[in-house]
Amino acid sequence: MSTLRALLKNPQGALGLVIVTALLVIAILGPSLAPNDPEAFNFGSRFAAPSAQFPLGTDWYGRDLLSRVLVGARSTVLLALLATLIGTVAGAVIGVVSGYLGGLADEMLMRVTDALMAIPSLLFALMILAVLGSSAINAVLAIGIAFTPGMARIARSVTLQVRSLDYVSAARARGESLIWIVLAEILPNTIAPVIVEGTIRVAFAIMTLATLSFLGLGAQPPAPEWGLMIAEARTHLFRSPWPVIAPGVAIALVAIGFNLLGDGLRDVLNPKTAE
Amino acid sequence: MTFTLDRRSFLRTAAASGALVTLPGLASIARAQDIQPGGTLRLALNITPSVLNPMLVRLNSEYLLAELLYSGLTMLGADMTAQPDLATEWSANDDATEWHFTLRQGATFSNGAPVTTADVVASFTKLLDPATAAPGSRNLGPISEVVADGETGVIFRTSTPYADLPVALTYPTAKILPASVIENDFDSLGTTPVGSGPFRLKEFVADDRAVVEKNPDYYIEGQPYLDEIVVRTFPDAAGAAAAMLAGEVDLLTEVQPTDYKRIADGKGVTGMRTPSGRFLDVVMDCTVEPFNNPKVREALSYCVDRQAMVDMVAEGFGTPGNDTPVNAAYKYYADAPLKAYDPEKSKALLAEAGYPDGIQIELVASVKPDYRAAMAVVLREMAKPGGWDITVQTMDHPTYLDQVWKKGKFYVGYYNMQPTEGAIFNLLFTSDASWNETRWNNAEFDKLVAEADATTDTDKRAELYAKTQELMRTDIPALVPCFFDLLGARGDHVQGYEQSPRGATFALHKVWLSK
Repeated sequence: MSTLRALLKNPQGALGLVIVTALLVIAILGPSLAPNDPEAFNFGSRFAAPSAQFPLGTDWYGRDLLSRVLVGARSTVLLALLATLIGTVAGAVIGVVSGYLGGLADEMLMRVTDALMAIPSLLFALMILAVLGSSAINAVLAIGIAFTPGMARIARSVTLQVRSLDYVSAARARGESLIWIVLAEILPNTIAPVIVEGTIRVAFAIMTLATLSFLGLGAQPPAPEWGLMIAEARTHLFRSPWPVIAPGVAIALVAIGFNLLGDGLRDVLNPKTAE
Repeated sequence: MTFTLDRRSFLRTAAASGALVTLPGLASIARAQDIQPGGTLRLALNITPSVLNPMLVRLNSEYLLAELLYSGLTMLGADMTAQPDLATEWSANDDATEWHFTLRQGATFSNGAPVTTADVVASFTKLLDPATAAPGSRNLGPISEVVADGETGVIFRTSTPYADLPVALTYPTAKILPASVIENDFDSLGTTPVGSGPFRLKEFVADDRAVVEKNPDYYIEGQPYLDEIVVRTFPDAAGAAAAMLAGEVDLLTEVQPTDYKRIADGKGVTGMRTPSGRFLDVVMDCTVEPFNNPKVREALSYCVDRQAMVDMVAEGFGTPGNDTPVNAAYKYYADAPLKAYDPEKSKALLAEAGYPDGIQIELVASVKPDYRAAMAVVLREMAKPGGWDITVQTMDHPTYLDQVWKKGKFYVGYYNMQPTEGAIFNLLFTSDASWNETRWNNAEFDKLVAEADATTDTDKRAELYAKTQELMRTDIPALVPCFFDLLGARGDHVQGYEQSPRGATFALHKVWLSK
């Protein structure tokens, strides 16, 4: 609760929190908020500019862009959160275990991580998709896996500081098991930097997801996924900019929101700047 | 090459192509005085040519390169008739089973060797050899034997009468290659072309550009007019369009319907539009469930608002289709009222066929060209009230060619117009078609097509082809919701380029640039 209060006092954090909360509400309620069927064609009003009937205009089939953006929020944002969650949990566990064990196990895990980090994450995700085949859920997996090495690095560096502290030595002296020490003693004390990193990663995940869909490897038409919407609208850009602007602004807003929230969290959770 | 020989060959050309061509022939003489030879034409493609061997080409971009570097016996005119190329004239016996082609004298390959009848025989032997695996070789007709007849003649014998042989020989793979290269080093043609075409390859960088220069020994006096053609490959249509509008490119042989208006309105650019039999179809594998039941196929055919399909997918640059690959651009098109959009009827038919709750199915569409996926999405929406729950799966083009094309049970196909009805039927819909993707295997249809192929009487053929179209409309091996006009753009200074509705011939040796 105190974290939340501190976050609200931080201007970046407060703005980020507002955007992200609004977004989560839309993601959950989106389909019931949408004024029209996001897939219904309106032959008579193709490429309509924003109006009372279509607040954000329509696309090349006369589909209502506002409805599509609202409905698409769920798949876009929830999938991005899921991808980040996969990457964060897997990365944190690998990093903490590696950092705590040290020695040969640490060397091996970290060298593999280094090798994977040498591949740019988008390229790595493309490679995974090439193996798994293209679909929205595979794209989520691919991004999650691509995020894991970076998370593992961060979790490990924090663990290296924590593992030599007295309470960890005490737990070891009590004869606690490896799992208990990692989960109960180390993980809670390394969680703050991981959460901050994870929040910022959500923005990356949304953009990577949009990129994959843009390349035709994620969601499939006519799904109202934002990246896919932009990719499809590209060929019609010169006749009406609205089909690109609407999802483009949505992606930008979400990325800004999560970045601000991440920055705010970093300030709040860092003991040096918290007071 | 002397003037007299050239004049004689021109007269022969005019004779062979018949009275219909006389008028445009005269027009081109009048224009001939203004032609300004020389210069470099910059042409943009957005599908990469990757195969150089002329017998193995499959894509329009590859057809273009093959046509620049090689020649065939005949070439396709804009009116879909055979025009003289390496053969100057031809004739058939009465039942059209034996054809005699007269070979042009004085033509040489780029290695200096003359084009002889032995080269023609060797080329067709290689082309028809199943081991060569030449795409679409079924389209050359039922050729059983090719033999030389002295120094200047070649005789083609067919196993059944075949009236369309001269047109069939315009197929883009039917190029004449030197016999010595075919025998000794056929694979080298994949990198080093040896042909008798109007141009010679100067530079080829895969995925980027091909540069061809004028063949000074080309057998048509004065042609080609251009000194050089630079063929640039753009990764997508938008890039090519932008280059055209910026004046970095002189000619686009293909323009996407979504871009056409913008490009045609560009400064210094002229849009080109020609009605064509090019179509998108929805291929249904007639041997597997649910499409082995004709009622299911019929049900889907009621789920297409064909005019709306033209407006939404072809952006109005097309004509509605009626589930046959033949439209008004063909000679023997049999007109019939357009099928109505009737989702209720679709539901009823599905119930009769044993699917009272409708059908859930995945439709695959390649991403090239863009409008394949557009058609899939529009069909999904149109078919919803008819009891169809179609999910669209898009896929990049190489994966589609590799995994789905000719194998999948429900996907969007895309085909050029063919010069004759027989050619399109034998390419896609007969039991022994080159690409029998629907596996319709309809004996009655096969019989009608074979009979029409073998008939020389025009009225009889019209009647037979009308029956084949009727059969396709009622039994529906594939949905053909709309046809696409051929769209292109040229700089105002590009002269002499004529779009062929076939979409696979370009005749760039007749193009010149006004200063």
